[in-house]
Amino acid sequence: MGTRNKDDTLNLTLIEESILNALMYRERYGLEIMSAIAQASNGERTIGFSSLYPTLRKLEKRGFVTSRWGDETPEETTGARRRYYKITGSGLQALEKKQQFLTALHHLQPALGEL
Amino acid sequence: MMHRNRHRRRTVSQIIRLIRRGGRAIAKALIYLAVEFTVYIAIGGGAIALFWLGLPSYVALGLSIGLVILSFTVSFLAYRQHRRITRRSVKTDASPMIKGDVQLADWIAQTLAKKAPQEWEEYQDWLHDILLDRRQRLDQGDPYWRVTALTYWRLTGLCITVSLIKLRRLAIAARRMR
Repeated sequence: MGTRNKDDTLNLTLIEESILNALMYRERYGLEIMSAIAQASNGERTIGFSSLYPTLRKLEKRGFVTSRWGDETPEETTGARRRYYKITGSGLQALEKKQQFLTALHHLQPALGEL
Repeated sequence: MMHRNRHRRRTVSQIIRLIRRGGRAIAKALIYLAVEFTVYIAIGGGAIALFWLGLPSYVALGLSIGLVILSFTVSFLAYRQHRRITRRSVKTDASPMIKGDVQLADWIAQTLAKKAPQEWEEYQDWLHDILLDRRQRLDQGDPYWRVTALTYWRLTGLCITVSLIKLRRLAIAARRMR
């Protein structure tokens, strides 16, 4: 059985792939990513807070996204700040590679005698 | 005549008090029953799910009971901490605007900033978005109790996740020191 390599660009979970796709054309903050995913799937797929932020951290560690603090004033009670996430070149490459793999798999012709 | 009227009023108020007490006792009993029933469902459901995943039945049941106890302990600790803050703030805090779930969020922010600055730096946007979503839902006209319950649930999730991450980091650091 093959081992799971975190650095393998093909090794993207559905949540990771959804997040990267949500960041494809513009930077977004966490709540916006959640709304984008829910909106794109007509509410059929939602990501909870508990899985979104740890996944974003993982993607950041793998170099697939970068983040910056928002210029908005911090939340008035807690002082917590908004953070914007942006897809990187590696993130785009990973998405592209995964897409190519799925397309190749989809068009794979069975060899003669296999059927 | 006046004496009779007074006596009647007293009797009526006694009956009302009795009915209220009875109602409260029944409500409490129903709540206890509901909680107990929920615990049984959670244990049974968890055990069935784990058993279905291929674990032996005794391991599945043990794990399920353990998880239910853990979640209750965490909820109880969060609730106790919240009560403590609320009591303290009644005595000392002059700003009555911050209360309930927002106060718990404030406590989480302060605790993380003091005790786990690295985790606070990494996950403060999570807390920001929880409170932003809370405000948006209230502005949309969602029921207050539902928004509050959801916020408590999310804050508990944040606490558990960040605590686990912190514990993991501490364990790794301890292992490296050996």
